[in-house]
Amino acid sequence: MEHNPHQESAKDAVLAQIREKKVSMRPKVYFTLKAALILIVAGIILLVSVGIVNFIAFSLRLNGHESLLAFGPRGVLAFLAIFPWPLVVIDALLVVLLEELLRRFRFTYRSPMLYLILAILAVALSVGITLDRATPLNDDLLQSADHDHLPPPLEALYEGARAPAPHDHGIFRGTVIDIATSTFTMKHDDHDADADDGTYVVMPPSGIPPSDFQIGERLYVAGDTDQNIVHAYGVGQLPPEMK
Amino acid sequence: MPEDSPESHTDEELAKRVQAGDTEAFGALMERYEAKLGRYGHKFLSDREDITDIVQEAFVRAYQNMQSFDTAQRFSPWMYRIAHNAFVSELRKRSRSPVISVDFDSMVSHPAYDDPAPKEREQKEMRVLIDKGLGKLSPKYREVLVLFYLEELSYKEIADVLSVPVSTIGIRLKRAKEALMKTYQHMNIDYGT
Repeated sequence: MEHNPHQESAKDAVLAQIREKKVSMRPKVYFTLKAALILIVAGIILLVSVGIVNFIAFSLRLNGHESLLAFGPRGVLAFLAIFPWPLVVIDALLVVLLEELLRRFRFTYRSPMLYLILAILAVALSVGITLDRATPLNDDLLQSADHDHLPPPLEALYEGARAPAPHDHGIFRGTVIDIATSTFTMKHDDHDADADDGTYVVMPPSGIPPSDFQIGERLYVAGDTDQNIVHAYGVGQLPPEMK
Repeated sequence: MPEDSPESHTDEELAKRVQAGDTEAFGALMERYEAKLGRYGHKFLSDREDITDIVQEAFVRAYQNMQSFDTAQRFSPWMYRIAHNAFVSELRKRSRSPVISVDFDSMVSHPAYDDPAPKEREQKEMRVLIDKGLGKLSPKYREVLVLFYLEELSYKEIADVLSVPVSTIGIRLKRAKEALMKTYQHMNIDYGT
């Protein structure tokens, strides 16, 4: 048998450390608690991730930006330009962190990494979007934020959910106050009470007569402005504003 | 051999005794694995003293974490996994490459490869080839070759050591053999004889 001169020394060194109590066995409860802690942290990360997706869905719904997707290629480009990408980056980092945490468990590392990431994303997207579309959670939270009934981080988040219309991207939100033969007039109010508040004459895209709209209706308009005239390439309806 | 001597017990039985506080049983386990892990470490590092230090560190970690070992599973992949992590961690310390790397071959699923027990002749040939040409291969390919042909672990066990899907082992082993053959071609060595 081959003799390894290091064999005894390594074994003896470790045994000596054990006997001198320099090295000790961690109790079983340590590993149970560690696994539980990892799962709890993973659960919290998943919840935050779901929360971010839910907030993105809510923000897009509240501000009417989803209408852009029905406005053709120009609308899609504008949608991509105003999409809250920083939140998406934060969510992506959370998903990677979650994947790293879960890979410690055999049931996860035996699956291909991409499938695990896709599974996490699917859960975050489906739960996040369902919470916004199928429950009054976000609307209730917004009302609570309006009445200062939310704890600080949530309150700041929901108070900031009503974003001003990005008019640098040709987006206008407002209420119809007058309807003419080929145009309608809209009172623009994007919650910020600044210089761009006022009235705009909107020329709807061809095929959409102004008679399709009603006075008092809230609209989402995308187009090019020429002074106070908006040459719209898309007009969408907004739900009544929450008070 | 006395019936209760450490030699008469399996690794898993010894691990169970260690969990119950039998330090000598851990000595027996170290005796069984020190040469194997040293040989495994030699595929990552060349300095013998460094290898011994890391093997020693792996044993210390194994002892500290012994209560997390499930004695219904095989001890060997568990021990190799601890040693593997220690060697990889040492390689990362020495490497200039970024600490976080992405294994693209573990990102997606691959066609299922059988886990064949290599034939004795193939095993012997591969051992010789691996010994000669391993230094030229990337650690990712070295480790699967060593674990499969030298340490004789199954695909499933290697997957546990490396924390990757089982199907990844099949594809990685196939690529490792191809890379090894290319190395031989570059070295103008006839690997067919």
